[in-house]
Amino acid sequence: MARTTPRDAAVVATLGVPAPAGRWSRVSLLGRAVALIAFIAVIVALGLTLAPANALELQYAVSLTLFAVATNLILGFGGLVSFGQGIFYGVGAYTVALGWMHHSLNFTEAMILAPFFGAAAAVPLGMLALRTRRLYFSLLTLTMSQLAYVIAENQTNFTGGTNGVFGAMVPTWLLNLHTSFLFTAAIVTVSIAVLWKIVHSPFGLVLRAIRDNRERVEALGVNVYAHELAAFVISAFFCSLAGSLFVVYSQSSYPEILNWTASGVPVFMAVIGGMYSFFGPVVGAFVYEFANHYLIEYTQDWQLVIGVVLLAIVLLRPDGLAGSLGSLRAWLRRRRQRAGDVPATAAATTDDAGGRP
Amino acid sequence: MSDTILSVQGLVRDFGGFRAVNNVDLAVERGTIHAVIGPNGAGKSTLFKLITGSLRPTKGRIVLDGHSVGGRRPHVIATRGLVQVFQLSSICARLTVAESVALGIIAHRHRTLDVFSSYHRRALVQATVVLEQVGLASQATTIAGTLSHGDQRALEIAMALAISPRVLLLDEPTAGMSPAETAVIAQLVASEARSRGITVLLSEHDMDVVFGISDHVTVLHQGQVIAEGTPEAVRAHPEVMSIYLGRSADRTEEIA
Repeated sequence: MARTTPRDAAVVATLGVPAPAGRWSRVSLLGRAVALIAFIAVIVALGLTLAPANALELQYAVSLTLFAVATNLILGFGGLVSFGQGIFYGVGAYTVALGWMHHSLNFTEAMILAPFFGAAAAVPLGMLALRTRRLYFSLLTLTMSQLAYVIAENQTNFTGGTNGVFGAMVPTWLLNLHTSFLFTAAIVTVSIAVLWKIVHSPFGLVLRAIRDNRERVEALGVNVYAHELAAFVISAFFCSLAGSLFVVYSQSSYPEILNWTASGVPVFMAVIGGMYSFFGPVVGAFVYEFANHYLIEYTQDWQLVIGVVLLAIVLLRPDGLAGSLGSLRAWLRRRRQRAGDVPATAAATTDDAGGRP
Repeated sequence: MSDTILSVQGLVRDFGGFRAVNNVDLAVERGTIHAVIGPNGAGKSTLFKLITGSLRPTKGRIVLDGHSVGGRRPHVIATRGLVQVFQLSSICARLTVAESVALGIIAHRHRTLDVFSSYHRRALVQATVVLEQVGLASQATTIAGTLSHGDQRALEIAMALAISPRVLLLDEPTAGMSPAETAVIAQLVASEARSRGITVLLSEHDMDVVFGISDHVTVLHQGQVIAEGTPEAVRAHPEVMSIYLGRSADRTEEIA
């Protein structure tokens, strides 16, 4: 049995644990919905008003939030540390780029097919990788990602080799900065909403249970392997979609986007933001990408800085920013409780931090 | 006439040269509480792992309600109606108490691959009913990992009951519990099983727990069945008295 600490309780508080509908959960649900809409409004407003270079950077960060949330479906909710999600990101990007280069798919067709290609690739890779557990799973996915990188680099005639594919693969209506930003933001918002629904479904509950204790779930009559594979494929679907948005941003695709360091990026984002929280990776993606973008102006060794930050998070705040926020809320609640403002029974539940009806 | 729901015939399991389960026969009657007792190392846990499918038998047959299930995968056996409660508390530490039970309901209704439905909300409502029966209703929104040991055992039993098992397998349900907690759990198991008509197969080394609630007792020693029958008959069995009761008497003296 896993040892639990009060911090675990705080983590679950930020997870959005289904709780009986009541005054507390309804208030917080409304609060969360307002906060979410405000957040989206601010991002869209920024995207439409910032200087072109910054707006483009923001568009890239928005597309990466989808990559991070999709990766976190299996990382934070499934307990699977994959260093291979870059493969599916790359499949998405290359579907659009190669479809254009070989005149076989137009942009719309490629955008629609990209996530399905990613999901299709995830079936055999997942079937193989999920035969292993923990560290071996991570190493196997890492190896697969390096393999995908080598294939993309060496099949010069098909993929353009090391140089990748550059060109006018994005239709002219998407070259407008505002249209391109809104297109990306719309796809990301809808996709994250779908992923939210998946996490908050019977399947999502089973997935979290498998993460906590797979033997127990198996004893309840659940085929754990099949459910992990389903999660892996769903994650790959949305990673590929994020990859196709990379082409909208960069109008290119090249091997570096699918090597193992690229696969590590969404994992870092989820860890920074808090992998046990649904929206943690969104925050992590913005923090990581902007740190990445602006640190490079000050130091060549920005990766060193990010490395130190990651180490600090893993050692001191393993639940990331969202987990810290949860702890802060729990602390505030205890203070209020001591002051006698909140009835003890209501405060003892998790619903006001993560209420769902 | 007898109505056997679970039968084990000539079951053998070797670990290298060591024979942990040696030619065991067992017949569990429908609707009864059947206990397997024996000192530590008697092969109780191995026998249970063979029945649940966590281990493959070296030889022998396991028949559950007319179907041969020996060597099948655990989740397959679970869907046939045999559900186990683990020896060590084995809960999903980050789920709430209500979610843990809802998990069982979702699994039982085959809704685990529901990606977009809201069936889990209905399951959560149903879970509160089960939680009331085991006395955990007030803890519904508590994180399972923060419960006391005794409450975790009760939660385990609630999770198992949620799947309406035909046979409930309890491997030392009161391991590591205080006598007071033990009494509560034993009572809970007995009353829930009898009211729902669930067959229970449980292993114990605490004989007092077993004799209070069981209809039938099998004694295992060094991997073999050495006695079986009603609790009274087993208690009076000379071999049991010498190897088992003698031992526990020694232990009592040690403690005293």
